[in-house]
Amino acid sequence: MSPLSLLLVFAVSAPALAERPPPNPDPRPMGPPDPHLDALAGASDLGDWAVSLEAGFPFFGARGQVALPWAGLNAVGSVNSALFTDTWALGGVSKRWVDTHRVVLSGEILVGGTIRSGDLSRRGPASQTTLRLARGHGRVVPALTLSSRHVLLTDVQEIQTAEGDVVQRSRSIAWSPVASFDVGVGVCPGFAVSAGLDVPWFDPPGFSLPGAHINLIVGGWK
Amino acid sequence: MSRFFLLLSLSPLVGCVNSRTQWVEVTVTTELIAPEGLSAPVYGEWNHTWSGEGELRVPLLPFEDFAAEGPGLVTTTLLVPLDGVEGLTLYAWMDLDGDGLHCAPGVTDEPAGLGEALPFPATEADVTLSLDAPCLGAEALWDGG
Repeated sequence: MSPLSLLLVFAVSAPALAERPPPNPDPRPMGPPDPHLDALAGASDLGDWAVSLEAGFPFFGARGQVALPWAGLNAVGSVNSALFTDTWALGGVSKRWVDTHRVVLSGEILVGGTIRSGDLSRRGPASQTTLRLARGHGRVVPALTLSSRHVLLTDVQEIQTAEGDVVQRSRSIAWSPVASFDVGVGVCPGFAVSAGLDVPWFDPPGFSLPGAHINLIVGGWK
Repeated sequence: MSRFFLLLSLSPLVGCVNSRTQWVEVTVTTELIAPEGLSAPVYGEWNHTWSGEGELRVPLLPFEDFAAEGPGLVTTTLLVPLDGVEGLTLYAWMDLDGDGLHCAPGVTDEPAGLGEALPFPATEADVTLSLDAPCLGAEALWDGG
């Protein structure tokens, strides 16, 4: 049985674990937060936070978010690695742009850095722009994530000449988009799991293998 | 917690350089010596004498074309990497029939030679190349370094 099927069976067979009050469509339901919705939607309500731990192929990582008291923003920190050879550490802000009873759409801008080891090693400051679309608000939350990653690569050439040493710098930008589809399931208040598929595209136009992952999600509120 | 995220995001910024490579700009004075009475354009290639490491270490890796109007002194400026390579060696041959090919079928007399530029690494080096080996390739002239 696949992990996704296991999650769905669990969600159907344990309805009493997370009985929730009737949804309040304007603007968010009352009661405890949905950590899986918050994590998959990319932003929490004021006073809420969510942390997710991801394991799979090729990605492993951790992501945390906490609502800030300004303009509906969330502070976000993320560490993500593809097979522990292509690691990204990013921090930034996210915000829910659309938040209805049925749909949550959020945007996210992160900056930080990346280090890749091996024959295709590279490092540099990086950014990630992400759109997250989640179907809320319920025990089962499907979500689509589209990310665009950029790395600024600075290459330095130190040249010995007869007139003295010369240093030349060249800069380029590497782009790596990633798409993910997740299904999150609330297990109990403050705890959820999700499973998903990843379609990374490392260094286009080269082809990259798709992947899959599972997430453990915890969340809290003030 | 937000302070943790701030530190997390700033930590990888230390060391923003993707790669750092070292090069030397070498002005090489080449003396081309041809068999007596022969004069024709000379073509060839500059090689890294050695490149690679371990089992992948190989001699004579071409990286730049060479051309001269004929025997005599020729000055060339090359930009040579210093990472993963050693030495600077010139292979050249004389194009007696003017076809741009070294010893095309039916041609057996176009002389070739191989010589190492010294000192290296340095910004100025010299190499003397005797074109005295008809129709031999660089690997046939290589004496093992």
